[in-house]
Amino acid sequence: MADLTGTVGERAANKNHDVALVQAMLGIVKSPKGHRYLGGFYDGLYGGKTKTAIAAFQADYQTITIKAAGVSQHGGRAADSDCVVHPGQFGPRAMYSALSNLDDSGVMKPGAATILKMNELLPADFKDIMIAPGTRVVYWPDLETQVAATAKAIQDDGTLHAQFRANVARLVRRMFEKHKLLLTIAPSGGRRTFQKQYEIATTPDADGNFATGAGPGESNHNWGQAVDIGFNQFEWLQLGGNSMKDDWWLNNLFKLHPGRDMDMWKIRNAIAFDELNMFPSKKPGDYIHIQRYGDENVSMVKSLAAVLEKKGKLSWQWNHGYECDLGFGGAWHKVGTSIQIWDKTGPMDKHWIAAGKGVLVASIKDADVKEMRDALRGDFEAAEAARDEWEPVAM
Amino acid sequence: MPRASSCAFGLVGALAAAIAAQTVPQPLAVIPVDAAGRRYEVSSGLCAHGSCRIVVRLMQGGRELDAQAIETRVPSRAFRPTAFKRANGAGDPLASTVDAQAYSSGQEENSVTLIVRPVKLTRELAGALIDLRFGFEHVKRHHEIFAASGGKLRKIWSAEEGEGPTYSTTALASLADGRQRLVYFSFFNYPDESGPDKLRIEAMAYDDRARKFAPDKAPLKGLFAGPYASIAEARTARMEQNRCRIPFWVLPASEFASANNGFVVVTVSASAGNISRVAGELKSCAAGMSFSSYKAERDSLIMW
Repeated sequence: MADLTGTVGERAANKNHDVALVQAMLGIVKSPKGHRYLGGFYDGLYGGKTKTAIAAFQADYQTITIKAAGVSQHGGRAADSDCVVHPGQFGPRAMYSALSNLDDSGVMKPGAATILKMNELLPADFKDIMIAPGTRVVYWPDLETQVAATAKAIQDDGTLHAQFRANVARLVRRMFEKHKLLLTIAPSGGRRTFQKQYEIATTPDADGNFATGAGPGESNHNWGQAVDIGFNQFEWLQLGGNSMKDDWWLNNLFKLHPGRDMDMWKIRNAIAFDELNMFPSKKPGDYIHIQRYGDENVSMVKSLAAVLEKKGKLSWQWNHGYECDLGFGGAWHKVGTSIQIWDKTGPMDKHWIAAGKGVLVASIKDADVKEMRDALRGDFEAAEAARDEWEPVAM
Repeated sequence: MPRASSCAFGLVGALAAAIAAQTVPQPLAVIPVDAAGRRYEVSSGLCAHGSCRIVVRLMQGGRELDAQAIETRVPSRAFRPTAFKRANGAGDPLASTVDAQAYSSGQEENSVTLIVRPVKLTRELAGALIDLRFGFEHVKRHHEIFAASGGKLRKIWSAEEGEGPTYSTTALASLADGRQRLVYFSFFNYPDESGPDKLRIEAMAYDDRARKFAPDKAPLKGLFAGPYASIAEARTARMEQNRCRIPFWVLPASEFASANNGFVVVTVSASAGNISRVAGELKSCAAGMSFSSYKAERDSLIMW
């Protein structure tokens, strides 16, 4: 049963999530005459319409005490002017009042008659609705069985950094414990192979940089140090009883009620960052992304170059671009972006190879160029195989 | 989801004072406003705490009439010219170039690319269309149009990308009455086979009396292959022509093909010339695939 965490009404605490819950319920339950008490969307802000709707509900369903106003049920003066009676009834109302925890007029208390009656009147499909403290989105809870399986799959995912995946699994479990919500990793949001990163970076076309600027080896997803974990299938309530299912990024919530999506990210972040000491991306707005380390001053391209230098057969460095000595130990050559190196389309001048080998350029064949490009790609593959040795390098 | 909005007057006095107090760098772009000699100057300035704001100034002669800062922050005032890239979000989705210089600043997550173009709002008045691309791990774009209104500068339109694998771009097309139409394309590249990609196209032209953009029917064109029975099949077909370097999307077939079911691999444009060029390219780089034409005249196409 959905309950309040504080009072709602005139001069009450009116926490946003409590008000939103009440507003949402007033948009679902019907009066004895069959009309709903609120229209429009619930916003978590207590105002005139909410006040009127609560008062109407309380009057219709007699969930409030009234002051005896000096009149007893027998029409004589009451001995105690504070004696509580039930409106519209002149039976044994003092007893009824004590048992049913009636609210004062215009105010709803946690666990008291008005919220209890609202819950009672909710149609069966809405009996489970709830709201998380600090948010303004009423939702249906997820299934616990899915949570255990999801957390275990993450815990067992050996492609993710060991400590990190344990924390991500904890996040999934804690999110359900606290809010009955299931977090899942978005497609391509876990550890990505270099090939998968290449495919993402070059879709919808091979020029790249549409949805990501990170090529193979340049994303912390490639090193098992990050996940994109969000709210897929999150089912939330629109006023009037319509439900809306969302995607990992809460795009529907963002579209219909900008700002409410942030409420949901904040409750996830409170666990991920404050409890479990994981980190957001430094890029503002990249809400779905969680990573193992703080990246305030980290260069992904320099970090990749460092692994290439450490594990590759050739020598590598980053100098406003990937530079490689092509294995000759001499001059550095700019050999293209990581996308180009991966798909073997980067710059490769026959003069570079000729100079390195100390031969005439005329003797360098296309096969030599292909062989060199294969060698560059081979170093990328060696780096990927040694992904546990990746370390963040400063800008 | 993409978010687009018209905006009201927004100059903050304190901002103007702060802008004036700092040395103004050479503008990255200068755009004539009208026959009265007014102009927009776009520059990177107003730096504090290691980040700078891009500032749009309305100028007349040597006098600044008004100024507004763009919300997106950049790491430094130092911008360098950079090559055209469709991913910048400036131009038709199939453009091979755009008639404006792109500038970039910063590295990786701090990187920002900026393109400024004039847009003819009326026969007499031009606006400044600013397209920004920023980020690294997740790249996003932001688009804004500023216009002179009296002696003030107004932001009259803006759009930003939502969460997830998104892409958006702005195309301009000349109209017979001297105005230019704005076509805003927004895409969502759905990351697995449980859903198709998403598409949103909105065509609009400036309404001088209402002082805002209003929907305006535009000729939309496309090329599609399919329909395919499943999203997976359509994605496989898309990968087969990846080397063509033409952006394709997997969308429900219903809008494009006569079939009610299935999915197509489609590329869209507001330019007949671009579609024609791409059709020619596909004949050689995707010779094994058969493409059909899509044509429509509408102010929006939303498959989101």
